[in-house]
Amino acid sequence: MYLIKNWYKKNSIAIAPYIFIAPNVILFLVFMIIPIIFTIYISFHDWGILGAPEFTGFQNFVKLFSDKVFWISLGNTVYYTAATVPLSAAFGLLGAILLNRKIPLRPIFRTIFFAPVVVSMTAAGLIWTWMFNPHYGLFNEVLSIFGIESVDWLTSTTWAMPAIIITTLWLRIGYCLVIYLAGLQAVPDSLYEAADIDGANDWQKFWRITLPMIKPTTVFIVVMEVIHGFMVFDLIYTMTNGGPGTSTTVIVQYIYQKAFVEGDMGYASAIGTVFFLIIMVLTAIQLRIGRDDS
Amino acid sequence: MEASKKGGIKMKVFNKAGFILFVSLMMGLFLAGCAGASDGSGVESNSAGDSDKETVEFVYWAAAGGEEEAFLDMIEDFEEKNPDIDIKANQVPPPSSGDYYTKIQTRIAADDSPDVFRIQYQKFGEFASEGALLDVTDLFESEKENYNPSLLTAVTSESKIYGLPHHTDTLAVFYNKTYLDELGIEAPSIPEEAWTWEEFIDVASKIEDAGLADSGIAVNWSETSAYRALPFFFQNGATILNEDSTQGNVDTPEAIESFTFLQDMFKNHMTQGNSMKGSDDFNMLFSSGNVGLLISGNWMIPKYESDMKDFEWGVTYMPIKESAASDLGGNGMAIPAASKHSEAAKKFLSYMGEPEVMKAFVEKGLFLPARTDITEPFNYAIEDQEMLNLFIEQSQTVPEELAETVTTNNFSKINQALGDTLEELFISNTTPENAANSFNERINSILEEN
Amino acid sequence: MRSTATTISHEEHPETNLQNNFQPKTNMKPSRRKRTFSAKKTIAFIALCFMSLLFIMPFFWMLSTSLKSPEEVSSKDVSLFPKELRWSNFVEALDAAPFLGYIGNSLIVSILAVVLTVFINCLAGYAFAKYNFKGKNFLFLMVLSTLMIPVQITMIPNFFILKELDWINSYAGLIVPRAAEAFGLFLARQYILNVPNSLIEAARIDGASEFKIFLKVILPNIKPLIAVLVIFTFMWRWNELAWPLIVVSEKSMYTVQLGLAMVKGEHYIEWTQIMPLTLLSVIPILLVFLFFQRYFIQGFVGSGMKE
Repeated sequence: MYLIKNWYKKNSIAIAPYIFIAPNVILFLVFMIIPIIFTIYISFHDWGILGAPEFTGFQNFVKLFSDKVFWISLGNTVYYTAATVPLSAAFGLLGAILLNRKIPLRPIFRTIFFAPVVVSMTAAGLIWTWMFNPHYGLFNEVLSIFGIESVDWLTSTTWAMPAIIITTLWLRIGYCLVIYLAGLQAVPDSLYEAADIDGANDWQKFWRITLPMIKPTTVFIVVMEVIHGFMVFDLIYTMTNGGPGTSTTVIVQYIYQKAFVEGDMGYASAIGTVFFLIIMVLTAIQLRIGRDDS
Repeated sequence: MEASKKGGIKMKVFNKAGFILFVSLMMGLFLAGCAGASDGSGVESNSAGDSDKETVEFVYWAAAGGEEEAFLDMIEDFEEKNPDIDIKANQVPPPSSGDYYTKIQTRIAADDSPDVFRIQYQKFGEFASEGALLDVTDLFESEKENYNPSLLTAVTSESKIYGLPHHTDTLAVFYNKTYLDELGIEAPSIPEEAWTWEEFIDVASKIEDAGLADSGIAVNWSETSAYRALPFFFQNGATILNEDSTQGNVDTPEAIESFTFLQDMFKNHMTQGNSMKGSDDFNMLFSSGNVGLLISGNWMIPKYESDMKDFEWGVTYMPIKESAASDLGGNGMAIPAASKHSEAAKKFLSYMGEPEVMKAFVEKGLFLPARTDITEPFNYAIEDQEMLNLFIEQSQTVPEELAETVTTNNFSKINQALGDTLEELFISNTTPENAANSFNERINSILEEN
Repeated sequence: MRSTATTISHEEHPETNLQNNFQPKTNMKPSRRKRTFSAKKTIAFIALCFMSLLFIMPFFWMLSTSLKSPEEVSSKDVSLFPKELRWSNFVEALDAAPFLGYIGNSLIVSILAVVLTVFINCLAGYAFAKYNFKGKNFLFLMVLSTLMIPVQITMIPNFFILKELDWINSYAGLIVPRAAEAFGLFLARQYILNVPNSLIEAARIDGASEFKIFLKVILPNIKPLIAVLVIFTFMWRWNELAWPLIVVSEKSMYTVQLGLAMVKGEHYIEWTQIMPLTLLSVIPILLVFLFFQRYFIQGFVGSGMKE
């Protein structure tokens, strides 16, 4: 016992970190890594939960490549992400800049903008489905005040995705705004003061000082929002269930449909595996970009 | 500064030994917490039933109101009559909003099987073909003739009965009587005079032309209940599968005609949001007068009775073409083969099948009984008893082929394919021929895989 | 823990180095802009008012629907305000389901999850930020790569694992498997990177054990981070639906989101019933945010901005 204690005493700096990360890493191994390995294993099988998995080799993957809906759902996922990431970042930044000055009611504004962030996707989906209802909803009513004609939001192949994107913006802008607010406060005032002396106007100050100084914040937000975009599910499941047609079918929802509605675990796992690979590649690219920067 | 020294001294006292102690304490607390939490629920269920009672876990969903109450009443009554059995009733979100079947499958596969569960007829084939259901033929052997043959077909696989056909429901046409009166149209009151497809569409057009509602028709269907479109095939003499259910049979002229009719009905007389994946609330559209005709089921009657305040309304038969046909709805109850309390579970199952019990259940839950030998009259929990009689008549038009189709092993996948096909037919400009062909191909590849 | 500030008091200003001296000042200084007060500020204020109106609208619509009668909800004329306030909707909705019990379960799960997650994330974040050890980068990347794994993929295999642990239908099953949040760990590591090494070295020279350093030096210096993690963890657990759906099978263990899924119903949505409950489900989490928001922005100033 004494020996062990003594040994630990001597090597505590080397041993301590392993003990510190142990709870996290063990939980990851058990509840993340093992399931992922299991998923990859199942992707080479035909399996319906009941009964034993039946080995089918690459059959699921072959089927995947000619599956029109898979590619559509991949495309929709990209569409959704490409629209929500810049828009929520831009509006978040705009709000943050407006709020980053001594304005009356600041804490109240901040709370209002952040409030939607804490609402669950399911609840948000319900509220906005109700808002967008063409017959009883508020949204078209409000638009008509501005003289804009009614739109069949969730039931038209053209407008369903924009409707979901609008809902997402409501949910995510506050999040970006708060992070940008933090980023802006880290910009030293002395830079602006120097610019004032040089006679720069607000626009120039924004492009020359603010934007470059908050670049790390922007990178952080983009990464987080891309993750959100790729994983979107609950919102779409509640609002359109992927329809009309396949106009809002995204990848996680397609996985869900195959696994939980049709009971085709093998195929669902194959989609999951391909999706996982895509994510890995994306992460690697992101890391590369991050590294080049620093 | 002095405080700092104290802190420093304290730290030394507590160093490595303290650290190890702390970690093990945390771990211990943590594990105790977990164990305590899981014990907590265990203790609860134990104390609910005395130690000599056998606990049967019953998993089901139920709509709020009559249906929910009916289940609870029956469970209570059963426990009174069988003091040695304790029913652990677990009501869960319905299949339409949760992972109901996946979870039951997963629980069975993980050796954590419930003892009885509620199951739609459309799911029997899938569970039975995997050997997941207990053969309960002995419970029903002597009373086969007392059950509706279509429903008995639905729970039978390879001449073994795998569950209790509990109740059924079916579709008919709800109409806005105020509108029809205004147009001088009288809805058919006997099955022989049911509207034909053409007449049905004609009524819808008149409602629209008179400016009474924007759309004439709405249908209570969705992606998971795409099978509610099937009557329109069988009305026209089309089938979905060939005779021995080995191949698709929807590339026939009759089926293509049905697709054409559905496409026309959707595009010209229904709201855009009433497609398979649409988000329109068709019930609300009907009760607020935004549509004049709604194809829906008997279980919805109380809802319209409470919501439809501004209009008079009624029910009539499904439209006909070559013949009448309606949908096979409703649910049965089954015992997983992996149940550890199967004898007690069987007792519960046969209790739920007793004529008086079933009668009380359907009266409260607004369903049609699966038995045919229940003494009338029914005393349904609605204002107008006549309405239910119409549904009972209508349910006799459910073709047996339709019952067989919806209970084949792979019906989940076929249903998904049907939903996708119809969605495409409604939303994009696919022709009925293409829709029929691609649907047929998908059915064939689904059937081939197994 | 208060006394800990003292371990680092060899630096000049003990009260500020509690959290702020290693990061830029978080209190912004608007003095510079005083000159241009009126016009710009008025425009900004109006713009903010307009934006907040848009943000509040759905909440308002939710409240308004909650107080309407079913007939009014399905009326062809959409009205902003209810004709009469039907508070009984709330009573009826609460009567229809043991919703307060669900809220209780959600509170237990969320609070326990917050304690566990925040603690182990900070601990691991500290190790990843301040130690060098073999496999560090590999392990960190492994954790990060799971950031984008949707729960739908891991749900089924996890059920089998839970069954082995006998955690089905238990609080442990709801909490533990989701405790190691990759995002939380990432934030913690980023934030702790900014804690000056000198503080740690000083404590080590004082003879403090490694864990003691974490408790007495690191934790008091990362309060804003803890606030961020508390809010997020609470939010994630409170709002989770897919995971509880698979873990829980008894009504007595239901969480709020499961309760909402039940209310949504099989055949139709009763808006006057679901909107009051949705509103009630949002309130506790709004309170958590209000309570911790003071630290919230500071927390983000420290994390994610570097590297």
